[in-house]
Amino acid sequence: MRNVIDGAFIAMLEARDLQIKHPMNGLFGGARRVKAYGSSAEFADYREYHAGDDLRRIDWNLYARFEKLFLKRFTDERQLHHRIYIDASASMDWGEPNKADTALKLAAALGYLAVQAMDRVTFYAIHDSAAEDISRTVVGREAFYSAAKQLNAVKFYGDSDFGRAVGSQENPGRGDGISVILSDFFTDSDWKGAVDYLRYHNRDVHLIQVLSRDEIAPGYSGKVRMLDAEAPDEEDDRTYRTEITRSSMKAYEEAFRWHRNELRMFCTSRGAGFFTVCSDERVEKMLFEQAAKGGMIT
Amino acid sequence: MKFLNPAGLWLLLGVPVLIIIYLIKSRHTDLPVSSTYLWRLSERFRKKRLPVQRFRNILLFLLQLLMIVAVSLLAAKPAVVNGERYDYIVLLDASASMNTRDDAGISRFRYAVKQTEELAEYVRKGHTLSVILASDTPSLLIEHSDSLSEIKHMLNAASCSFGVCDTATAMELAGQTVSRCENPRVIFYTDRDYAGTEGLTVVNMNKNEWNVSVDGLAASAEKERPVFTGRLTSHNLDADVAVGLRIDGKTVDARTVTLTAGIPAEVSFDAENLIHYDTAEVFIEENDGLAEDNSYALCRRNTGIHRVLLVSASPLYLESALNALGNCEVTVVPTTISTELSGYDLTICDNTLIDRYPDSGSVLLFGLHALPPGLTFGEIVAEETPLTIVRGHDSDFYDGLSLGDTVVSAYAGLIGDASWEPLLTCGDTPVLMTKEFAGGLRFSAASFDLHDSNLPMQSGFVTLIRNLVDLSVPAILRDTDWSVGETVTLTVLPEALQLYAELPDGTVRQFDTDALSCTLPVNGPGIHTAVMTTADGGEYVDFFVHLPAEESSPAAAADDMLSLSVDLPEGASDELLSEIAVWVAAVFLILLLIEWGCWYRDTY
Repeated sequence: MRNVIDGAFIAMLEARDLQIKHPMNGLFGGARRVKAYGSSAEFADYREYHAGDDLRRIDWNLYARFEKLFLKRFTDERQLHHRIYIDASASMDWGEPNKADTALKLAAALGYLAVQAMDRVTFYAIHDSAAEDISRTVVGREAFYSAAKQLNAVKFYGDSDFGRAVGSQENPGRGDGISVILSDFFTDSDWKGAVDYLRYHNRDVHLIQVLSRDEIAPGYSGKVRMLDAEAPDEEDDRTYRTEITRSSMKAYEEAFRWHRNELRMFCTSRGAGFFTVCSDERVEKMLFEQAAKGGMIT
Repeated sequence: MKFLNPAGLWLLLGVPVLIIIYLIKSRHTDLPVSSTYLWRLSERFRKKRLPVQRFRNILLFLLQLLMIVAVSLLAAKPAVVNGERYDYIVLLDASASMNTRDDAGISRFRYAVKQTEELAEYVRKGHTLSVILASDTPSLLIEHSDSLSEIKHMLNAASCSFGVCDTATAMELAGQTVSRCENPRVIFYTDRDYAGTEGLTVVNMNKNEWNVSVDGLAASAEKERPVFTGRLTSHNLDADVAVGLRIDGKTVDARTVTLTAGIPAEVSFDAENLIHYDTAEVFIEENDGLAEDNSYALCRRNTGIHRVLLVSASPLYLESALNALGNCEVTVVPTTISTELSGYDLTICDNTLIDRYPDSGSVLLFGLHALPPGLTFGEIVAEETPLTIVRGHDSDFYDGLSLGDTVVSAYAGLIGDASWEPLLTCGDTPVLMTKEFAGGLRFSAASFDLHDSNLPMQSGFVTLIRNLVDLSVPAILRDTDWSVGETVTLTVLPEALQLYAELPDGTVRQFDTDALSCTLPVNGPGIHTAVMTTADGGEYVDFFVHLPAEESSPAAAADDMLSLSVDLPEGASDELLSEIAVWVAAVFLILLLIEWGCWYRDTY
């Protein structure tokens, strides 16, 4: 049984918050300041008075000075709804330390940051072409601790198809929060379509690539028949025969760099965030260095 | 094209072995991974391979295959032979006579080696060459070689011996070599004529070079001084030859003698005023063909100081004679009763009764009172009878001994078995007999009283006593005249701390003093020295080693019929297998290195 959160983990996150890059709407009643004009105490700007405006908001000092009527406008505070997608395919249940553990810890951390800011959060586990709601929508810390137990029980198996899983969501949210996809992105599925779909719905999108050390620098040698964890059948197309040589290792390294660069370039072009973590790194480092550097956490 | 060593083709068995190795190696091992996505993606980043690189593995396999074939062919030694191919087997007579040099100073042996080297040039044309060195212990110098450099190297290192040629063994060895050849041709380079040959060609290297040899040397006592008589022969040429006598390394006499070819002649030298000598040597100073037979030495044993116990009531004669020898430390006691008998090299009991025998050293008895075990007295004769020396034994006892008109007035005959050797007789009756026991110890008994004889008055008495003492006292070596090829046996005396032999070339051979005796094969002519060190100092013995007599007259025709006995020796197939095993091991080692190199290159 996993344990994605503990006291020390929570304490570490107390002073942190999720950073919202794009203008959001959200629901009324939250604590997240948005660019929409509302009734908070924080001044936003002025505009000229039009007939029918609330007379209480006229700034009389400005009228005395310019002999024109101006209205004071204030920012609004809303409740956002963040959605965290976890690739729950068999390829994530790999490595030492396990990539799935790392992905769940990151998801839990992000979820805690969300509920701490009085936002709502939903965790999804992607199996095949479906995004399964793990814990329903979480609001408040009590609900979060309950959801964390659900996270602990997530099973990683089979395949995952982001494009279809995310794209087929009827309500991925519109302009009301962050969408995070945690995966190794070693997939033939249309992850780009998923990112576009989320961006189309005006979501703040972040892709976090979770890898193990042996995926970054494999130490294999000799003639091997590689059996894909998601398709252990020898006859599957993904079963790969090769002889690990110096040149094949070089080609792998090049493919690795190309793939990561592809992820980064695409995310940049779509205004999405992207960073890679290795499962043998500490979660603090992932959050406070890589996530913060990627503009995801402040 | 022929294969000189078809057995090498067995290496081609490596081809199927290699194929099996590749079949086993080509199996992929299963490797579970999280995803093959990146590996499949890496295909597009693999550098475009040249066809050569694409088939690198198969090329490596082909290369290894070619290597096996190449090594196999190399081992099989293919050769293009113009006409018939021969396996030449050369026997080089390495006896002493082959050292005979011509006017240019080149020996017959070197000429034979030179002709063999010329023959060796034929190996370039696919022939092979084997060389047998026919000395007193024949050996196979080169076998079926087609390497000119190897043959030349071995021939240059070959040397001629100073012994005889063991023709029978050499022929047997040649026969064994022939049995391993397809088309043998046997050539025997020698300097002798053989009555007949069968299956081989004899090349006589004898060019009738002039050679003078000193064939022997004897010493006799005439006119109360030693006379040395050397025996000389001039071979192939009548010649006036300068002959000299050296005593203890110093030339004391020389003369020129005229020698007729092939007829032995004797040359005598009177050694006036010579009382004692260690080595007498007759030599010739001529630039003849064979220098090693130009001298002959007679060596006397240097016996050191002997501790002698003389048990006698009237010791005058014997004590005087022993003291006259100069090498005896004499202790005189009247009786053996209450006398310590151990610690003496020799105990002489002169006409006295003996209550016990000493537990060390030799014993010499005079008189009719006592006899050693194994001897009994015969009938006592009381009339004057001449004392005569029993000749016919090759012993130092006779060296310079002359009894003149010695008579004995009363004596008894001695009766013993054949192990007892008679030295002196009165008429036909032995009156002095001796026997050697273990450790060089000797019992001797004379069955007459010295006072019943005029022997002590004779000039030969001292010589007799000296020779008896020398005979009785244990010695490292008694025989000082040896021939090359013989094995000298040295007696290790109980008191020896160290025993070694100095050879004429200056080398020293150490022997184990824990053994009762040790052996020294003598391979070269000249004066050798056996040295024994003891707590009291030690002693040494010079001994002369001469060439075998027949080696000085190499032109002598041998009656031997030379024929090859062809037998396949046991173990021949074993040799073949071991040779193949070495090649197979080499091939697999090379393959292993190639594989390792490729693996290392790919992995790192």
